[in-house]
Amino acid sequence: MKRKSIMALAMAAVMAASALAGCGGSGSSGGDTATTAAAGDTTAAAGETTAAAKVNPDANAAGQTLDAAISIGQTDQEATPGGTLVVSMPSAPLTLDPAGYTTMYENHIMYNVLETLFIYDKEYKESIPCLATGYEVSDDGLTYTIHLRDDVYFQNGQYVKGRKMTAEDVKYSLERSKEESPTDRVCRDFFDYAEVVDDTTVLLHMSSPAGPFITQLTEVGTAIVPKEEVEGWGDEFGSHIVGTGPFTLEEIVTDEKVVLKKSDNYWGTEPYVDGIEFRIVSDSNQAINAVTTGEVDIAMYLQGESIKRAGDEGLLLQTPSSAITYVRFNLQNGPTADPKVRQALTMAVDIDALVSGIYQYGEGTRAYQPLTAYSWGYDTALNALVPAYDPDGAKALLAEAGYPDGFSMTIYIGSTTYREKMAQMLQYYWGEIGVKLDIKSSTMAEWSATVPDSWQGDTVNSFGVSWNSNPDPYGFLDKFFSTATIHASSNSGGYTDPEMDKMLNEAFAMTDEAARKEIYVKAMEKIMNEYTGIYYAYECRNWAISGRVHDAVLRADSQMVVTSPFNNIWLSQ
Amino acid sequence: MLKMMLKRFLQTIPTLFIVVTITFCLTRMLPGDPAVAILGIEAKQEDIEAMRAKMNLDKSLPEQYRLYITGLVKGDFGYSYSYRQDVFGLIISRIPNTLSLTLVALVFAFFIGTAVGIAAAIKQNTWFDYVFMVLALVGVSMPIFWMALMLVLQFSVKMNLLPVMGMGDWSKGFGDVVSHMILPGFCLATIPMATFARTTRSSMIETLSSDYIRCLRARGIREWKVIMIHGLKNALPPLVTVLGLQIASTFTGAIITEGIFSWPGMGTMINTAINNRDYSLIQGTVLFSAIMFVFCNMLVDMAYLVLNPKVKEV
Repeated sequence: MKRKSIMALAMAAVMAASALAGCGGSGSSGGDTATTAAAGDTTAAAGETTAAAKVNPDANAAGQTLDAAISIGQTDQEATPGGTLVVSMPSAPLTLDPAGYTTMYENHIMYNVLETLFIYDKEYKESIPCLATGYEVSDDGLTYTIHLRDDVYFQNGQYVKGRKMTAEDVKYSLERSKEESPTDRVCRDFFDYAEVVDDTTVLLHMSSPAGPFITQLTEVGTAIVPKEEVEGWGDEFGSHIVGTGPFTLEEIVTDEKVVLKKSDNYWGTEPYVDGIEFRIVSDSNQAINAVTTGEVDIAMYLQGESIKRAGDEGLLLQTPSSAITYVRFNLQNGPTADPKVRQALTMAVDIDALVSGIYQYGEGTRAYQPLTAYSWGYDTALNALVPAYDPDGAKALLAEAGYPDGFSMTIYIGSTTYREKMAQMLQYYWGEIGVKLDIKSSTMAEWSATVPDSWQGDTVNSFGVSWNSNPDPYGFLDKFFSTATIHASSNSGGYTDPEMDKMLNEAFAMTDEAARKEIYVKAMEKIMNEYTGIYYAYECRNWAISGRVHDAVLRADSQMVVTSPFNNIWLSQ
Repeated sequence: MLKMMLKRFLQTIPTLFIVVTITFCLTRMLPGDPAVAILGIEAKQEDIEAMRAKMNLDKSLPEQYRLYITGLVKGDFGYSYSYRQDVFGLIISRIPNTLSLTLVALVFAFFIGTAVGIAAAIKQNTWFDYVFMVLALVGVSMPIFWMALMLVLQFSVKMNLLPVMGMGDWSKGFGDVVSHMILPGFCLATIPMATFARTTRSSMIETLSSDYIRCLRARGIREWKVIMIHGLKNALPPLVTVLGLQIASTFTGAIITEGIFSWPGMGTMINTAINNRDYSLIQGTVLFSAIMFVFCNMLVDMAYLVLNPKVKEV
């Protein structure tokens, strides 16, 4: 470190001397010689990291099932404890209060400090117990009996000093989440109240049955927090969270970093790392530079060209996300209200070419259905219902629908490179069958102000966006196709159908997964035959990861899982 | 002199008032609902309504404007809902970070730029002059973000000498702070440095070719004295104007540099504010930047009084 600072001072002098524009010749050549040793070091490190680059095996095959999160680093070797894991993300957290947070960045930090009753497993398929040890559900689906661990203590905070977590805390936290969260975290319209039986047993009463309830309890917005801290801090709790997790919140330096430290009374496996530092780095290229120099260990949420760079340098870790990226049509007004037109528009697009055109660096992979392939409700057989690329057939269908000469329509998208490329390619494909596409690109804020509810008129004929949820089919199908969500952004196309509502409600009220799946598959078949949109891609989660990180897991939800029943990150010293 | 300073000070009030009004209108024209930006797009309608009421957004525009102005007069810049802090406190907490970066860049730029400018003027039309003036031209025209990335690739990634980003930590010693300052400081300094060099050169050439310099030389006064004392003093006024303008534009230029180097200053804060539709914070930061501009201009005017007493007569 000392040597580095002296070198830094020397560099300041060199740069001052070379002055003016950029890399003045003589100055930098002097620097080259001075650092031959250092350069040698970096080459060795690069050699190590090449082996690390890992991209989730081809998810493009037609019979795709997305599973297997991707792991990296040695797990067999003996782990060396110690060190701080430095993670970069592009945007600063605003509040870490589980009842107030809105972004993924906040979620990743909270996940390491707070804990929920259940968590997702390594494959992002099933929920497994965390603070709970198990549960039973009554036959009518109205009462869940949750059994809690007996060895869980809160971290030390201002008002709580290592107190034991009990059923009272569960009751308080879940009811608070129901009442105060801006977004639905606990199936709030179905979860009614909690009842404490004893210290380790709590009953959760539902007003009506909700199949996805237990998976919903993996959401970090339902984390168990101590009442004393929440009420003691009031509005400030979001910057002073206390929970039961493996790390404690040490320091928040606004817009710069969030520092977590290993908790000394954690009930689970002791973390190998001493702490985690989340750094805010808005520029992807800089994040990769920092991974190369060792300033950052994992750079999350890489964008665009930097993904290619990370791949070239052997730092890339990539896996398809569970989010569906799609274009949906206005199902109520304008030409796209006619299913034939929608079918024609779908047939006119070579979706495989579309996806490889948009995602040049492989950072997106083909999708088929309005349900994530990570879901247990997903039936690959239905992929065949997406019509094959057939421009002539599309033209014929359009003529049949009464548009032999085509028509003009609009698409509303957020102004990102991926959406703009997509719209331009659609403009070409649809142009081939005589449909003139007018691209309306705007900020997401403006998009959210225009598109939801736009089915009531015909200015918005189609729109492009992506949607994410945990892999319970409820998080996709009910949001996309239920009349209850018709004013929400997820159902901006205006899908409403009594038969569909009946099916979705029926499946929702069941607690048996197999029975639910049967209904969802039927619902999906109906939806696929109505050509509601083109559900074309899963965009990938892209991390740049240094070779010194071991036993890291990149899941479809991009969660920063540092210490869990299925992994425990450690660093080469 | 005092009377003039007071007059100059009073003149800034209407300017700031106009800035406040324009920012107020512009933020209201930004698409998107600030309440939705805070609560997320899935939020319940009644929560959104409640948040809008809390933020005074349910009131009419003239009423919002009245509340904002009366608040300002009382010294209340408003509350930032995205940071959940007072706007004034937020800005005050960021100023040292941005200011330290800006000052380092300006000091760097001023001394090197002026020195090169003087040298180029003395050696007018030699290879030295040509080389440095071309470099200066490149300097003013180079996009900061591009140069920043090139410098990082060279000095951090390839040579592993300087940190890629972030602000140093005093607890790790002076060296840590300095090493974190070099790349962003240098990037931010490029444009003003080149501007200083070019302005100094032309101003010096003009001064050095004037009659009184020829007289001084004829009297046998030493050349360095002629240039550094008699020449430079008269070449200074245009440089002061440029300096005043550069302080303000460097301060705003820091927004880009801060973004690239993850420097936690005003720039990063303005970005977050705009992304979150944080009206009070946007208004606060713009107003603050305007105050900076106006203040710098005032300083320039006053510096003129000292450097060139003739101004008083005007």
